[in-house]
Amino acid sequence: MSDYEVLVIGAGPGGYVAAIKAAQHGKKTAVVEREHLGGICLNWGCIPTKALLKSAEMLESMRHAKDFGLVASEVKADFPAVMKRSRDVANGMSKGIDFLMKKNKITVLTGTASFSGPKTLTLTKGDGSTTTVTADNIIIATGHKPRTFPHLPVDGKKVINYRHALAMESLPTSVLAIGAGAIGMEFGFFLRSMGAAVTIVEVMDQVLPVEDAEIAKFVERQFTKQGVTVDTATGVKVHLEKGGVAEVVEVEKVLVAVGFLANTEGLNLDVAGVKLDERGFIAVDANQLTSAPGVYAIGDVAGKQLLAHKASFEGEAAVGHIAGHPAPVDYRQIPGCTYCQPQVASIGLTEKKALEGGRKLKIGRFQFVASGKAKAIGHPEGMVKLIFDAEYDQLIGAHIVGVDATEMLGELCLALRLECTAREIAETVHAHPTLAEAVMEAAADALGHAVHQ
Amino acid sequence: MITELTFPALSPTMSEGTLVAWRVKPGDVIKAGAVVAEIQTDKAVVEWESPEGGTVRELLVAANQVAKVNTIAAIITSKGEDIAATLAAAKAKNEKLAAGATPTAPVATATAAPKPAPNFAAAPAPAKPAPVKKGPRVSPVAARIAAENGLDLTRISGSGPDGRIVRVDVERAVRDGSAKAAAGPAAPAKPKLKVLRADKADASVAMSPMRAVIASRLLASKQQIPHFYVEDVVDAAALSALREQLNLLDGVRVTVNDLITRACALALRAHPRVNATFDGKTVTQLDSADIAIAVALPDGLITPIVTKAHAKTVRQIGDEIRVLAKKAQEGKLAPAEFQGGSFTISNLGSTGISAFSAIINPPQVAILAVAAIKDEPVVQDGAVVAGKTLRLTLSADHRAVDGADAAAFMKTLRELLENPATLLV
Repeated sequence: MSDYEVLVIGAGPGGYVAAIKAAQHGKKTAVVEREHLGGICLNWGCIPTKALLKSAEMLESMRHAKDFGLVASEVKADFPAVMKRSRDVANGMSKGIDFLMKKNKITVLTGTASFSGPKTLTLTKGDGSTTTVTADNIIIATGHKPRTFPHLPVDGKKVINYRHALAMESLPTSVLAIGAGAIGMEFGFFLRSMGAAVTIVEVMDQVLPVEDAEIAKFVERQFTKQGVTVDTATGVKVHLEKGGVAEVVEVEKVLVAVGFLANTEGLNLDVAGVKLDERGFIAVDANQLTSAPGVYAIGDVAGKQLLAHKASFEGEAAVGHIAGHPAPVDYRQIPGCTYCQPQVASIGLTEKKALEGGRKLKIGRFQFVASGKAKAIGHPEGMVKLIFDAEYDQLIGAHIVGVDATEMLGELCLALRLECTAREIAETVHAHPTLAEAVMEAAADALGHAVHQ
Repeated sequence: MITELTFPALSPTMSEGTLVAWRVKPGDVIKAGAVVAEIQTDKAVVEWESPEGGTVRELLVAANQVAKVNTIAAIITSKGEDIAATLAAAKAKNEKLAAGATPTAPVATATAAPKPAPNFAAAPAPAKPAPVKKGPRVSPVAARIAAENGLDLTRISGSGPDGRIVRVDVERAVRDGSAKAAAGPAAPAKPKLKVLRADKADASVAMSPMRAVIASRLLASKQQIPHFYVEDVVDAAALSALREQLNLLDGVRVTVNDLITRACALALRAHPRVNATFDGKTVTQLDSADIAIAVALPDGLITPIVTKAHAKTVRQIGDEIRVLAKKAQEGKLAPAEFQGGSFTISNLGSTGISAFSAIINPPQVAILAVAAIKDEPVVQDGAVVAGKTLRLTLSADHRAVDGADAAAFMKTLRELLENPATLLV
């Protein structure tokens, strides 16, 4: 008889959701966490960064007070107070998870887990003491750690990662962000608005390389307007190691945001028979099952997109399989959001991906400059781009850039899931005046009859 | 704890599967994770593991049955609880789901209307009567594809949430050609006739060894054997319907030719004078119906033989013919596979031909020419109605077979083909 029916390693957005789902299925469940409930997402990722970005947005608004007929003087950031607010928000959320664990009668085990048998884990606590637990099913949700360059070791002072960036005590005068993914772009926007000189370099030929090229170009232009130096298709070595040959960038701090590695160290996966894929993430099937029977992996440690909501849904899929109701995750339906200003939100295929295989497309666009609401709120920079297959007008990709883009995406996630065509979106009455009208107009544009452009 | 094992979706696209075999029986005590059954999904045979341990109490899906995802297949208890109520509810649920079965799975007595696994259904769902549905639930793009392809949505089973018809379901129906609405759109465009070409020089083609054999044998046959012909028209409606029904079984492909071969085998055993060889002196009536099937090759034809066809099922005959035909195309037939035989069938039905007659393959004394099944008017109860007809022409050697023998054989053959269930026993 095992100690638990389901044991989850890691209490991030994948792990804690999986634990709650397992408990709701009536399983005797425990979750192992070595640091904070809530994982990176709540403590060092999604939530605290959103708190910082809100400060940056408010600061930007205050700077534009005059545009709105308001008078504000001495507008500036109290940087330590901004950082403190972010920590407070994160800590408050983490306590909420603690409550959810208790409510669902989930045992929280503190320590670092390591396989000592196929279904057996040794937990090492902070004081070095160890205990052994067994479980019928084990879900690995240990997340990721930031990738680093071997020749550019992260020291936490001059060369930092997002985690150090979230704990900065003072504003650096200048920052070089390596990598223009979500982290590079969000910190780039935040630090620029706080007052730092920001340079972002990206080896790919566009910022936000997973996003639609047209949208990425739009964001890049806005960043340039904000005073951020953006260099795409730029190798880092040239700048940092061969400065004499190319441009020399002198900065106070370098933020390394170049991707992630799976957190598998110390798990002793060999003992359990869990195999990794060629990129070092845990290899799983459609039901999140690893190469070891009864052992599942979800979230960042299982690769694909590194997104909290993807981890949560994979957690549900793993528990569904354990409970005999498999419901594999459909990866075409995972939205992605970046919270710099302008925001970027997307789901489904980019134009480039959609064109692969010779598919014919109908593309509808709507610029925020034509939206009364966008003008009224002072954010006319933005656009909606919807991609439909030309054969049946089915929505296959949605891309929004602009203020509140991430909140506008919801209806398009639903539309994609429900297999809507351009007609359903164009014929759905959207309240006026809202930014969401742009979605309706973009769909109408794809059908060749947008009203307001 | 009472656990219901519901038929799982083992792949993202799976909406139903065949329970190939149970690995447990009522009374067995199993651990969680034990393999309880093998399931044929749309992709492979997969082992089905029980999420719970306990005692197997009831199996509600028989081996080899097709079941929709979420059919309650078995009941397991952890402490020997009374399962009467659970069992009754499960049977009622399965029956209700089976009532919603679609025509794509007529053999599935335990077929359930697709219903996704409820997320937290450790306990059986409350027995609330399903609301009467006015029409099928369908996604917008699926509705559009169905409309453009003339599909009847009521004949498509949905794989989405609560049986919602989604794009993959209608695309499958488009591919299958199933679920066509009664007044469907125009038939697919006719293929272009490729007959026009530029002039070229006359060509002299040397006779291949195979052509030489065909030439000498058929010349001898036509010159030396007094051929006579008996033609009959078979009402093939039932035969076509049976074939369609058989082909609903996943993994089964039965052709009209397979059914005709089986019918010939039975008729030949009933008419030994036709199932014979003649060497000019002695007629040898053969016991076994060893039926040669003419297979066209790029330059000629060959007649591989289904031996003891009277002792084989339609499916065995069909499988054997396809193996032999493939070998024939590849030139890999062993001599034993095409020499001998008691009777030959030549089927040109695939070309749509109306009727033809064939030359006897000596020392056999008869050969059957099979044309295409045609949509033609037939008379039923004194009225002319649309029907399906099949013309069969028997060529017989009058030295060994008389007209009455040939006609009797053809009558038996017609009766078998018009009552095709006789071919299944």
